[in-house]
Amino acid sequence: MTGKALIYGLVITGLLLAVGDHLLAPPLHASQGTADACAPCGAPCPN
Amino acid sequence: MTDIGLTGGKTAAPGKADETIRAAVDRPAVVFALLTLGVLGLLIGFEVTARMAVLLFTGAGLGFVLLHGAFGFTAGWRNLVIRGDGRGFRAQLLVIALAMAAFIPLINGYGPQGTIGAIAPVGTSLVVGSFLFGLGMQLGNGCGSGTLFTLGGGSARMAVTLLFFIVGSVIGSIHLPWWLAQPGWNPVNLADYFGIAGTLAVQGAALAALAWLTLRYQARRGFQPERTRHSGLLSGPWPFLWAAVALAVLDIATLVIAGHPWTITYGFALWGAKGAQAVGIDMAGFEFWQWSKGAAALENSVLADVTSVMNIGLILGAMLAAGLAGSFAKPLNLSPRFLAAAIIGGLLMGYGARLSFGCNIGAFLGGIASGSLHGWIWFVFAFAGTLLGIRLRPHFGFGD
Repeated sequence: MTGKALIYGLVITGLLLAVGDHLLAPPLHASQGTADACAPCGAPCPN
Repeated sequence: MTDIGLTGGKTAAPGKADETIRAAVDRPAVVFALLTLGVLGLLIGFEVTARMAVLLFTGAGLGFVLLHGAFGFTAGWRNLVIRGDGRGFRAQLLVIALAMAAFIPLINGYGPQGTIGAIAPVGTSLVVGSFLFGLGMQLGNGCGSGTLFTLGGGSARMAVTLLFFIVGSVIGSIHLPWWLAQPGWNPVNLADYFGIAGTLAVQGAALAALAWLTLRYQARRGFQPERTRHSGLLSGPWPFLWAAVALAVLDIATLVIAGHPWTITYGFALWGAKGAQAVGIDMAGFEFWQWSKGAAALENSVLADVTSVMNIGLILGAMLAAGLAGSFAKPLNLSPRFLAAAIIGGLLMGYGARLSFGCNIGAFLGGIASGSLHGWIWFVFAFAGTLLGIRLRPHFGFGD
């Protein structure tokens, strides 16, 4: 397998997985996944 | 202006600077990248939000710039240590300084409501994690952004690094609560102590001092920059200066649009956690994935996660740039030693990034530009790890 084919294959596989995850996830509502975090790294809120 | 770093990427032999030899545009790579970005942008725009679609294209812009600027944090640090070439490192400092000028006011009351900085705890977890990350990035031959943009540029070896980066991130997410229970302090926002103007002044002086030190070191080592090839906006390579300004502008845009600075490695942990869930591991049972952001991200679509969407954009943007430069996909080099370095480096970076709340982008650039003390500590210990990593590289077959 050439390097190019491997990269295309990996990117397409990754995108299909992302779309699949999107289709399986519950409908989006208020949460956008980041708005309720104290830091973008996902660390817990300080006491 | 002093020599702040003036050229990334490819160089021509002395006396041949004008002989620009352009490789042919890789049309399939360009069409693939543009088409995928277009389709994905439409899908995200309709299915998630227009804001998220804009962030996809912002990520693509970052990937485009990183590749054309050959803007590798890993190589920048290594070139400084090995050759005394501080141009790449100073360009990184410039990105931080430019971003900081906008970040600190925006984060501290002058930005849209809900704008948050990359401000994270200081303690054992940060020290250990940043050291491991700095070590891993020299073995993995790229940091978080480097792994993504070189993968998008066609480096199949980086797929191995990315896979183990993801594995390390998941393990790190599971262990993080234990590390956070070790000695440490809550996040320190320097603006709470120095005010906005004071933080800008203190950090600006520190960044300038670092740049000056590297200039002195460069002179002491007798490093002479090579003459460089002419640059094209679309075909690259770009001078570091162009790339630094563009990266700062796009990071500021990310802060305004997403509400937080550009981050990369959280997405890897999320991808790994979703993968683990898919094979039956209950990631929601681990504390990290019960915290508010983790729980929401795990439940929601990956296309609703800012970091993931920007990472995807970054890979495609780098592919577009590589296609336009005619440099897409390098010959495969998967010798056992290189493979071992990719695996170990990926694991260390993934684990280290979770413990230290990010990589060069999320912690070094985002942390310092946000005025967070953890960004400076991250830099000190990651640089120490990098010094060890540079010593280990020859054992894994790296020539430099």
